[in-house]
Amino acid sequence: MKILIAEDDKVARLMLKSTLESFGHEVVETDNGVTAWEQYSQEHYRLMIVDWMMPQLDGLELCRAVRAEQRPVYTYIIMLTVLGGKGCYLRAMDAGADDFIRKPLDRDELAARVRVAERILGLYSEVTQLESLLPICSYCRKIRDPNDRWHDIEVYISNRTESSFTHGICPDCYQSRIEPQIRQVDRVES
Amino acid sequence: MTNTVGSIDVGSNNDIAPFQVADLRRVMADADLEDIIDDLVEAFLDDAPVRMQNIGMSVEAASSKEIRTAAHAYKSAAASIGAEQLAELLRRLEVAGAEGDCTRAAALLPLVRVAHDTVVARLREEFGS
Repeated sequence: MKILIAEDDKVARLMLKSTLESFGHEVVETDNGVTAWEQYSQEHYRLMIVDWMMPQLDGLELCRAVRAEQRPVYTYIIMLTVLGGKGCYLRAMDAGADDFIRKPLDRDELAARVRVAERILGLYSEVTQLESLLPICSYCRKIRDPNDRWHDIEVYISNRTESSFTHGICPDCYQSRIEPQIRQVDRVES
Repeated sequence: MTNTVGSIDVGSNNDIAPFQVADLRRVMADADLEDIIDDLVEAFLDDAPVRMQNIGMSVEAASSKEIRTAAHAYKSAAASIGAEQLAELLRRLEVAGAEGDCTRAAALLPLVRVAHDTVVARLREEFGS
């Protein structure tokens, strides 16, 4: 995943970037909130990791700016900070952050938080896809998921929504498929 | 046991050992980032003198807001390289700034400076300047 990071401290930024790259992610680094905002304005990022305290535009302001954009594709934001406590956590969440990581960075914790972000973004993509356009095979009516795998339409929808299927026959199919069978049975019996 | 500078209690740091390069190597090994240790030290040595200078100026100006911001800015880097004593002293300095206690901040400054000098000197010995 391509991740935008905003961290003014050179040491923390290098550790964050190297750690994320070691997980296999592509990282675009910025050293303050203003540059991060400019970068975000030019390109959409699905995951941002931003430091709380930065000069000019801090992490909270950056979060608010991203949320105010209301882009059709969601951006998951992880706030990075040495600050702690319930008050800070709530302020970050109120500003629009999705998660919170304490500094100094713990590799395993970062890996877990990024996995959660990927999971939520994956679910978000599926929900968005269900709400909009579903790619469907013109012949067998199977549906393609975001990972390019094809599924039976009933299985696809049942697995991703609260919906389940009851089976009936529509009038057109009754006329085209069932009535000929009934007529055939009648003919055989007479 | 607590430290006092003049009559001001600046807290205890006797239980935190001064920085050793082994601390940094341990932190980097834990983070699986041994291969960027030289870059990390270079980044730290680039920034640390400016961070320390900002702290000194904010204390001299007796600006509690600037003390808090400057101490906070340096604390993150110090903690990242495993300089626990320096990070702890910077945390106390940040708290002093947040509480508007410039007198306590001034008393902490020499301790912060010694911890900073120790970290910088040990890194330069090991990695060169």
